[in-house]
Amino acid sequence: MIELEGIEKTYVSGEVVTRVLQGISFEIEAGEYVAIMGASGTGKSTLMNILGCLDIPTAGHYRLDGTDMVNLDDEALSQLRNRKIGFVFQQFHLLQRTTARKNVLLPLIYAEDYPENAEEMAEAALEMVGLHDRIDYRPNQLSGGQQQRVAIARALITNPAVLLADEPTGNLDRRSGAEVMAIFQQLSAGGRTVILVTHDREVAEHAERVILLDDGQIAEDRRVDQPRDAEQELTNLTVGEEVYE
Amino acid sequence: MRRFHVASEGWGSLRANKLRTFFMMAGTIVGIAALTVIMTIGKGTERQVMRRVENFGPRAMMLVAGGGRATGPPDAQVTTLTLADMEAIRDKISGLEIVTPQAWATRTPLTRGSAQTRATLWGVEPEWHAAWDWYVAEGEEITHEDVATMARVCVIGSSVKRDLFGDEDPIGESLYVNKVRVTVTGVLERRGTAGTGGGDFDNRILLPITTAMRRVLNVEHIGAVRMITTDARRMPEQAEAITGLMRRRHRITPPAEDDFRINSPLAVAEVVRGTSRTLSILLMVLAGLSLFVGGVVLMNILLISVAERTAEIGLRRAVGATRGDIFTQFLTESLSVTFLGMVVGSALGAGVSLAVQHLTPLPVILSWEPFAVGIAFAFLVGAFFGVQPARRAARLPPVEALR
Repeated sequence: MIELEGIEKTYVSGEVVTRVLQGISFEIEAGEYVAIMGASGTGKSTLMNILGCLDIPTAGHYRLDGTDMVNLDDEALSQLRNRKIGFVFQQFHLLQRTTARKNVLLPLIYAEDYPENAEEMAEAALEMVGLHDRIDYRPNQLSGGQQQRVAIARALITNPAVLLADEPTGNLDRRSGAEVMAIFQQLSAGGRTVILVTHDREVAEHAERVILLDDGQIAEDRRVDQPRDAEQELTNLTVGEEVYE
Repeated sequence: MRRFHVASEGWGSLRANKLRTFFMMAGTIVGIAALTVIMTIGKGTERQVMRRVENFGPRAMMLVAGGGRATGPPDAQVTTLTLADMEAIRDKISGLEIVTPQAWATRTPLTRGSAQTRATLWGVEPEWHAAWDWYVAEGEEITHEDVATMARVCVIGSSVKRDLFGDEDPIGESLYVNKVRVTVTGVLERRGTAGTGGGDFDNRILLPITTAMRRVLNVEHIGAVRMITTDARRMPEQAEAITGLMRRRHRITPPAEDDFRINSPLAVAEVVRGTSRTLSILLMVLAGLSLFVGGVVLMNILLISVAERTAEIGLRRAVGATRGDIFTQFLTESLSVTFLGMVVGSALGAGVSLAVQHLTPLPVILSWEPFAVGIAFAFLVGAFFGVQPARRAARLPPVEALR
């Protein structure tokens, strides 16, 4: 599904050369749930941008679902993002003053063919994340957790090969965070490839595999023996605990 | 289809930010409105020019006593224009089909029994009719014999007929011009009001020129010479030749002022255009400034909006928008603003034009042309000032936009 081979990213600013990624290689199989972990400044964000085809590496090869993205032009990269990748961001990035439904169907606008049943698809996606009663709400009428679930619905509407989540719980309270993590685990269980980028070990351990970055290199690539169960955490969290936090 | 959906994303932000959209539109509204008014007045003016030139005669020139002004009736104080001048033109200037003199007096009292009126008196030759393309509706025209014999006859305009004869048949009846008794031989066709000041063309009386000069006015000078050229293109050259001839005959050397002037359709058109020219220039400046300043405002608001919406642009890029899509979206936003402004501006301009029509004597004609020109300008302004912000938005690297 995902093959990285000697990925390097180097920024040159005047005479200063910064080697952010120094030869990253790994593979991710279809259906895997992988967390990419690292403190800030370890090249985690850069790697996530390359994985999301938002940025191209200075050297190396990246094959996503059979396509090497390194030599693609803007248009082809955009189409690749549209078809293969679903993004979930820390800041949600929803369009304000726009309903949940409209937000969710946004990727369809940039698809090669706008499906006739786009509205219904958006509704179905929202239903999947448990927001069937919030379809025509605007972001400012939704809680943080609900907004992030709208964003997940948006990421899923094109049925992408990979769900790429960048600190998805970073702006959420504990309970909403657990809800989001539970959705990811459900999706993973359903066969979806999920990549989670985070600095938080606790969050990372919801995944089946953790790739630890340090100084632009892979420091550790290990299986998680007992992934944390978000569903379980959710039931453990009582309303009372949430109030005290 | 994809293009359409991408482009229509440009509408969303306009609908969501109505006040901002209004500010972006303001310049276009005022500019297009001014443009519309210019064009309705322009078209009205041209229609009037055509009508006046038609009335004056497209191939006609007038040598008129008195210098200075461009048009208008002969200067009654100037007595230097004579039949000899007219004869000299007949002899020396080529390419003139008709050269015919006109003696002239305003507000001449006419009486018939107890009925009285005042009308413009014209002493004419038979060629007058052809020179003005204006013939009798009833009775006979003035003849060469009438001129030769200083006959006491006249042809009257329909207003004079109405005022002195009512419903009676005037042919063969007599009336008094300045206490000189003359017999009506004909009545002119009606022409209506079409003079420079909207005067009544039909309030006139024609006498044989000899009768007018000797018997009624007792003068040696004439008011004007009417000429019809064989070829309108030769008019400027002929006018120059006549000016030279007249200056020699009247011993005028510039810079001394001429005691005559030559009117032509061009001069008539000039006068008509002159009345609306100042306003048109003013409106042109207003339109130009509004469209330019409005365009700059539009561009700057869009640039600010691009900066504000960096994250939105990044998100759109992440979910599959190409640089071209982002460019299309922002250019659509700009074009939508100017097109909306154009619609409002055209309506406003049409409204102002109607007000001008009712409140001022300026001629106004509403038509589709200002709308077409408005569309063109809306497109130009929207495209020109929208390209820069759209390009900036499109060039944002997605990684930086999402940061």
